[in-house]
This record gives sequence, C-alpha cells and structure tokens, in this order.
Amino acid sequence: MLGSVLFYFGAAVLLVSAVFVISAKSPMRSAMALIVALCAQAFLYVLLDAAFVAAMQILVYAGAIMVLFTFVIMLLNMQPEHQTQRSLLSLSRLGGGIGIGYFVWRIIGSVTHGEGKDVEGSVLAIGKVLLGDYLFAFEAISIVLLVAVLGAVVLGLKRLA
Amino acid sequence: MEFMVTPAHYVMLAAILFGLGAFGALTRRSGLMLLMCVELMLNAANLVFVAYGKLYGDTGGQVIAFFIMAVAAAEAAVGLAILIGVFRTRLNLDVDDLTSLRDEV
Repeated sequence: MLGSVLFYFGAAVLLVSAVFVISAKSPMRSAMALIVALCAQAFLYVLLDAAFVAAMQILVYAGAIMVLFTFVIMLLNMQPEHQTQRSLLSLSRLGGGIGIGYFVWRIIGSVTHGEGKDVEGSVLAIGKVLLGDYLFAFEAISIVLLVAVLGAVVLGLKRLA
Repeated sequence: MEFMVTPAHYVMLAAILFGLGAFGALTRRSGLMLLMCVELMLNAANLVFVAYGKLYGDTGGQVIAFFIMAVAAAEAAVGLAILIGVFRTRLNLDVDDLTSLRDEV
C-alpha cells in the first residue's frame, strides 16, 4: 500500500514538472523544472530497487548535465521566447499532439504485465555485470565520451581567419 | 485485494513522459528547449530499461541505464557546443530559422 502511494507521489511530481519543462517560457525556469523532474525520477529508481542508478541520476543528470545547461543559458543570456502565433502553428501542434497521443496509447496497450522480481541494485552486483557481460560496451562508451569531449572543444574553438 | 504497483505502471508512466518530451521537441522553437526535451525522452527510455530489469529480475537493465546516461552526457556536451557556435553567428537559437550550419548566414 505504501509502495503504491509513493509511486503515485513520484509519478505526479515527475509529470507536473515535465509539463512545466515544455510549457515554461523562460529557459531558466524550464531547466529548474527539469532538475525537479530528474530528482523525481531518481525517487522512482529507488522504488524499483535501483539505488545506485538513482545516485548516479542525481550526480550525473541533475548535477553535471544540468550545470552545463544552466551555464549555457546564463552565458548566452537567453531571454524568454517571444510568442509569435503563426497560423499553421496551432494546426501542426494539434496534429503532432494527436499523433503522439496515439503512439503513447499504443505503447500503454502493449505493455507486458507481471509482478516485479527481486533484483540486485547494489554497486557490487552492477559492477560485476558491467565489467562482465557488458565489458565491450563499457570500453566503447568511454571512446564515445572522449570523442564527445574532443568534438565539443573543436566546436567551441574560435575559428581562425 | 489491495492495488499493486507493477513494473507495467512504470512503463506507462515512461510512455507518457516520452510523449511529453516529443511534443515539447516538436513545438518549442529554441534550440536549448529542444535539447532539454531530448533529455526528457532519454529519461523515459531509462525508466523503461530499469522497470523491465525489475520485471525480469535482471541487473542488465540498470547497466544499460548507465550507458544511456553516458550517451546523454555526450549529447548534451556536443549539442550545447553547437548551440554556442550557432549563437555566435546568428545571435539567436531559433531552430525554425536554422537552415544551415555553415559560417555564412
């Protein structure tokens, strides 16, 4: 009983803050709402016995990535978007909303039901799987991160005339 | 008979979260908002992986969530660097006007 109350609490916080992310006019308010959404999702990870993923969610997502976002918003001194109502915009919004709604409805209809099993979420269990079955992917993702860092530096360099 | 929360509920929540992110990515015009909505969609995928890991009792779902976090970090770093480059030449981030990534406007 307590588990379902906690789930619906976390889900409500997540969905409300996600709606705020996509509807706030100011980018800074969106970023702050996104931090709340990421923390609510970390809460849901704890309910799914994934404590280490939850800790990494807070550290990497709500910490590092969102610091990057807020830094860029402040650096560029982003102003709230000016609303220019284009005539086609509301129609495309309606069409996109209907299409996405249908997509979500089909996913919800095709979900595999069943009771959750016990799963190990400790650092030890994850480390054994990460450096066992997923060793190649673990090494490959480090190269992805290296390439991303190099790419960001190259893109950020001022072009020499 | 009390109501149980199963991993299926988490997957349905993730589907709604993905839909919200996709709607935001389609309708917002700022490039920064686009990246934030992509983050929402990646988080929905993460939630599905962890929920199905719980359903099948497999730790692999949580391990894949780490890989998605790493990919999201790489995407944010490169995407924000591109946005700063775009802002240097155009002084705004409106993706509707963004038809070329080259220097000349």
